[in-house]
Amino acid sequence: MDIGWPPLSFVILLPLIGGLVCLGPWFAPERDAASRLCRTWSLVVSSLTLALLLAVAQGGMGAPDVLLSVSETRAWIPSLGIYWNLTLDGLSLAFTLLTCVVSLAVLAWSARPAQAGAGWYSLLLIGQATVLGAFLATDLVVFYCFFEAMLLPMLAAMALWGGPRRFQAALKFLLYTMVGSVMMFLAILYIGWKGLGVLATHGAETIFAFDVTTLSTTKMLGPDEQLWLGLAFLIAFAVKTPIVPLHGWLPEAYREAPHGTAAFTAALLGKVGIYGIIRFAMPLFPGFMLEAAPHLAALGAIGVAYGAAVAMAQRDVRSLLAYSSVSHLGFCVLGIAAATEMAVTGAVFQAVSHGLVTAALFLVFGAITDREGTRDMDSLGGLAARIPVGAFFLMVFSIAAVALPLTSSFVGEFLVIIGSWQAFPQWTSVALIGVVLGAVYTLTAYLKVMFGPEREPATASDADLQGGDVLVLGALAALVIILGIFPQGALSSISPAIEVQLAQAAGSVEDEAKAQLRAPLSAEVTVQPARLESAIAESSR
Amino acid sequence: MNGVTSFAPILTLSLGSLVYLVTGKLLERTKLAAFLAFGLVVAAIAMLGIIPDSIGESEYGLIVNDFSRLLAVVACVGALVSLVSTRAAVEGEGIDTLNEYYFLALTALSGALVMIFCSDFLSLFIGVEVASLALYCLCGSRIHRGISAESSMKYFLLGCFSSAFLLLGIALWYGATGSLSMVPLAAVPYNAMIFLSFLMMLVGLAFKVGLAPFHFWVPDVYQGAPTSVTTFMSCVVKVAAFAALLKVLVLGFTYPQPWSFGALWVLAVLAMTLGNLAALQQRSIKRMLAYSSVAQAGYMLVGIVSTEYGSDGVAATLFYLVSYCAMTVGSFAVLAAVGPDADGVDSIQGLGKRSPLLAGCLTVFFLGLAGLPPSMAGLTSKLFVFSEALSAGLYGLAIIAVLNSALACAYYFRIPVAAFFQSAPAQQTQPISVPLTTALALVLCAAAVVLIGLFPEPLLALVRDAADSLVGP
Repeated sequence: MDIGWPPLSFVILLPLIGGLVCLGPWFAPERDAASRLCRTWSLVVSSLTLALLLAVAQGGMGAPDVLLSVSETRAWIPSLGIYWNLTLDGLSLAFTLLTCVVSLAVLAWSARPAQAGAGWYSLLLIGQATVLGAFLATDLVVFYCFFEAMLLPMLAAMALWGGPRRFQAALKFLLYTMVGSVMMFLAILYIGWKGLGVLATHGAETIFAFDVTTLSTTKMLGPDEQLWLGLAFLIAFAVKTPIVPLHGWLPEAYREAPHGTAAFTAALLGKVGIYGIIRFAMPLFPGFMLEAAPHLAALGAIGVAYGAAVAMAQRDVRSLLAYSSVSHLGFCVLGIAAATEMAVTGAVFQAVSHGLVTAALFLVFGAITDREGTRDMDSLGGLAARIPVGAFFLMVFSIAAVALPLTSSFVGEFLVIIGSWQAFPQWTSVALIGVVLGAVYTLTAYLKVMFGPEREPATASDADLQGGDVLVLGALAALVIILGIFPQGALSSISPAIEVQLAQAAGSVEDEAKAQLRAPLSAEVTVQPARLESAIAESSR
Repeated sequence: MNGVTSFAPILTLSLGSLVYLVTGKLLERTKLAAFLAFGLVVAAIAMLGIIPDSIGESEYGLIVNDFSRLLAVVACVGALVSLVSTRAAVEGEGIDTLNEYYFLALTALSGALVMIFCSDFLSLFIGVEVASLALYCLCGSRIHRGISAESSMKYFLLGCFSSAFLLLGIALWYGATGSLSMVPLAAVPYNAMIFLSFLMMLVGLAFKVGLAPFHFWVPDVYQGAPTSVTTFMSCVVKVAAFAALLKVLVLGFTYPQPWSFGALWVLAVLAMTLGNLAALQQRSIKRMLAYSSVAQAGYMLVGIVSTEYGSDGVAATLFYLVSYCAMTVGSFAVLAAVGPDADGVDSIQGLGKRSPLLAGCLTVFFLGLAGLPPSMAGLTSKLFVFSEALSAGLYGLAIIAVLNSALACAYYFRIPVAAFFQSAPAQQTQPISVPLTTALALVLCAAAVVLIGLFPEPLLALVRDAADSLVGP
């Protein structure tokens, strides 16, 4: 598709420039007026970004049977084979739409840190741009740049307007993610250097040495290389997601960050890890991913159960939400490990759904805890009568978090469980325990906060949620329910892209294994890990 | 006559600087002192653009090629930016002997140019001594402060010590080959004397560059010297010393011996690790930056260790050196602009409110040193150096280097955090007025740090040519 100007770059540049423009008023003397102006400005910019993204996707769809794929290429450091390659396919569309919706919701949410002013909107817009960049980039170096850059606005917001232990939380967050990602940096350089050599011998005219789609077709990495490089990638993504033993930064970061930042981080930053495993790790290291699958499934399932168990013990609502995130994201990991089309599609769907639900929960709980002046669930209670609208929305999103039917989480978790049952029945059962525990802690928390014995409120205001916020929550709730009732539209866009990813991985494994699995990768073929494992076993004999 | 023109930029600086000595107080009173220095450096840069490349071997001990031209331009531009950005700060620092200050700065720069252009060991040594003697004095130019005198004395003693090593190495080279030329002599076989000669020269130059374990003067001198002088030397000395080190090492690499790579490997690891570990514990920003310069020199050395397979490693090192200069000059210039005694972390607390411009530039420089976006120069230089290490098969070195750069984030981040997120102590809340020239120089530096990384191809082409002219394609 050639339309003369680079639409995907504009999807990233629009919020970036919008955010940089807001930096000026941050230091302006007339802070109140400037901040109101910036609010309107940021909403306009963010809506325009969403509209542009939808328009690009619409344009890319074209004929009904053609896969959505819009891409653009620009030379960045051509002498090293580094190109500004962006691609929008079904997989990135799901995550970029999530990014735009959540950013818009957080920007539109009325409550924001006191004294934040224009800086708040600036950091959020820059954050949106970097996350969008990470979801669109297919060049490993470009992806890495966005992967690192997305940390900074969130860290800044956390350190500027967070809770009393914000510096420790931010430092912990920074060190965890940096140590995780520098090894990935090295792995990327290794892959690129090797890719440059391999592609140069093929005499290719333009060399995308760092581009994941090009690299995954070369099948140049041996088993040992896949092990080390794959580990480096997985650790970086596992820290970001977070996958269970590497979640140490998360509770503190979510507890200390301002509500909006916590919502943004929980809903979007973690998804980059999930996305990265599907987009990069699976096609680049297919052999390693197959070998790691049982371990990954175990970590995912343990994450589901462990997160839920720890969440049950929490009294602070923020900590509860933090651990429930660990628990829900465990499903995504389990689905990815199963590596069937259904399970991975389910994982992506679950990731998107968790993004919507968790953002809404952080915002609603944020409003409630601000109003009551405490985050301790035992000191909250009897709020249902005083804030009926808030109670209603909290109900909707709690039900969604528990994954009751007719909500989007149900679709995601259901697909993951069905899709991974065959491969890992034992770990899927462990995850099911987590589902039950999830229902217990979520509904207990709801009951305590809304219907528990009424406490003396710290502030006597009876202000319920107001106009704009109701609109935000209404839109998020509508999305959650529509995706729950009519998941087909979204699934039919995600699933072909997943199929392509899996096919790339499978193609490489087949080649490696030199097995007779030359079946054409049509829409009917789903990749069976058991078959592939046997193929590998055969070849190694 | 071949080669005489290569003296032009050096003569411009050294003869021009005599004006200061002739006119004495007359010039100082007219406030023209600073502008004369700027003019002379600009003239030297213009000369660098004009002078032709040397044809064959120069008989005057200097050689002009892409390598020396590039580094000379970097040193001169760095000197110009640091002189311009600290012009106002110099007066605040109580340096009342402006004539001598600019005379010494220009002399140091001309010495640095000799080091960069040298093609035999004699001119190398002359360059080192001219630059060093001027800098010893400059470090002590804040006469009334004990710490400034201390730094001058320490620099002088350790500088002499290292010069002795260098001189001994040169003497051994002369003894072994009968020549002072840096041209590889195919006729002279490798022997113990040549080995010792390179070892001595390596030690001497490692002192000048500030590589661990020869780095002990760096923190004391960087901290004790007036910030304006530190700004100047953090770039000029680093570039000149690296130019000399590269020339000597490339000559040494013509005798391929495993020990030389082993020694450099150890030096790089020590510099990165010791530099970063020490920097983590500093409360003084100048000392932190000094230790960080040790660590950064270690990263650059990683590129040199990887040169076994051709000139790309040198190119990566040069790219790193250029972007590092922009960052370090900027960081020290911000400190100089904050105040003559700005040193502790508390002195920049609340800088975001007192001067958003300074705080913003400081953040760009420190993110660059940490190797993070949006200061892309740091990230791309690390990318080039580390991928050279990987392509040379130095996996262990590359892993140590990236772990170090993750560790370094812990202290680099402290500075922007203090500037933006911590409130200023009660006695320093008044806004800082930044002179226009300083602001301009800083913004240019910050723009360079961002743009070098965003559009690295032009600089990459330059450093590749430079590396080719040094190593041979």
